Amino acid sequence: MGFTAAIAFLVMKTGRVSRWRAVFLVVMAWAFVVRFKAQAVGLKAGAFMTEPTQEVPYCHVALSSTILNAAYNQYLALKSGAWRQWGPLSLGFLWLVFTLALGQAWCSWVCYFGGLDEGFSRLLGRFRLRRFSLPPAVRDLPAGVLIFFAVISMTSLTPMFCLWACPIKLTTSFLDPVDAVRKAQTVILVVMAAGTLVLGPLITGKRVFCGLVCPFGAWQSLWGQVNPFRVTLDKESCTRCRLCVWACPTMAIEHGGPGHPRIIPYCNRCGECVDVCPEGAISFTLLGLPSGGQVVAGAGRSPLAELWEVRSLLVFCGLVLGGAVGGVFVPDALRTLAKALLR
Amino acid sequence: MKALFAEGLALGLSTGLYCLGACAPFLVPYLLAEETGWRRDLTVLGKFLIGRLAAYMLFAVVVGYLGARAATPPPWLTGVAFLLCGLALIGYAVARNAPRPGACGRLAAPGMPLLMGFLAGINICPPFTAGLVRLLTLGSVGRCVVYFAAFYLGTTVYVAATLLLAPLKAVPRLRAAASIACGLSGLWFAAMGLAALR
Ligand code: SF4
Ligand code: SF4
Repeated sequence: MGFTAAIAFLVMKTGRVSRWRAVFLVVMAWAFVVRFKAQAVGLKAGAFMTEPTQEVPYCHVALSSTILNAAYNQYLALKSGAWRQWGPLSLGFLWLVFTLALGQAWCSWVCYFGGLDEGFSRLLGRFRLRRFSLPPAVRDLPAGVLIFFAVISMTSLTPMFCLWACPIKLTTSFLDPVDAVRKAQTVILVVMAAGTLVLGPLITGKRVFCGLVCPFGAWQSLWGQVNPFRVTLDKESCTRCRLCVWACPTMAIEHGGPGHPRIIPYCNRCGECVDVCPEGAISFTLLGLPSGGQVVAGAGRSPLAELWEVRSLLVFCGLVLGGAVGGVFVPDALRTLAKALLR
Repeated sequence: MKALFAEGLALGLSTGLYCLGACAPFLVPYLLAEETGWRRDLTVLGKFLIGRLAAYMLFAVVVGYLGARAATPPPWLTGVAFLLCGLALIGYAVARNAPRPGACGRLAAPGMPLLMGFLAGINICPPFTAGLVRLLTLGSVGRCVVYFAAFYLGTTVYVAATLLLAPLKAVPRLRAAASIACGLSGLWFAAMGLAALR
């Protein structure tokens, strides 16, 4: 609670949304890793999962990539009347609450995958290779990943993304590499984690997993449109300097050739471009409607007026929901760390 | 003959969901990656189904003619079918996404769904094996053809249901994403094919 409140205070004091949001997200993500790694090691006296098949874990990325399986299981559960099996429905309800409140901002304010990606993407500071833009088609990769894994998971009735591609598997528990298939899976998982969560972000300064792989990001970019928060570029004030294009960690701003940069639907409301634009041409809005200009801290608006800015509303929603999810594992992570240090 | 037809149809209808599982990874991304339009969708599905029918009939005739000698198809057949299907899908994805189509452009040709249907049809999946075992007992080409035609019809009910996903193509980015999914499916099937051939 105190930590969340401190982040809110720092955002309001400095006017820098993305910097303090990143601190919040990275701390939450590492707390998640400590909590789950400790649990996996503690429970199994080794970080291996040895079961031949695996249930879909309670994880948003797993759920999006097994959405057809979830729909099918829910259908069976409803048909059988076994209400105890209605797990997907309750998870679906939770997802709906988060989507209505945050939309795509989940990826930048709550997601632990995003937190790890974000942390590594900022680690090398100015030595990162940030100034590049990818062909637009490449940015559709996560949606392709989503379609592929949703279909293949349904046809095999197993969570294929978790078994074959999830980079965060290494932060919870490995698959026991007993046979050739398990060995292949382990190699791919290691390559995915090293490439998309560590080396890729370190070198490029971008959130490579979020921008090029994550099926939930693609899923949320579709459904997130029901949430009113938007990041809007005002063409009148924009000088086409492209600082926002280079700064966007999820590669969600198209270069735009000789024209203005274009924010695409994969934007997950991190606020980096809002912070970086020297002209104040980018701002958080509701449904893209003009919000009365961007507030720069100390620029003469009363603190009360600032509280009613769209930006403040997004920060509030992000921190409350991010804090609520973090509350499930951060206290446990702190206890684990304290125990380890005092041992 | 009527009883034989009914039996084949029943087998197809009862195991068709599995067939959908086997065909969806080929068909769904491909269907979604193509331009919108019901006529086009029906053409793609129709070609896929004709390709699949050709494969089924080939099996029926060969097994009916050769009998027990052809009842156990060589184990490498599934591997080769998977590998070819995988390579075709990869080629298609490259052709769809390459800035200049070049040689790969031919893979996006109209015959592609036909080829994919045929390759999907010669995959030996469990319902197909069950059908093959029954063919062994029939003893004539005609009876085998009738039985497998009915089996094909039964399974087709499920495979044709993929058409219900077609309206999703109205989202332009989804078409691009589906062509990427084609490439991923291709890699997956090529890897499965290589593993089966090992
Ligand atoms: S940083 Fe601001 S001024 Fe520069 S291109 Fe982006 S929106 Fe325009
Ligand atoms: S467009 Fe701006 S707010 Fe959206 S992800 Fe990129 S930097 Fe963040």
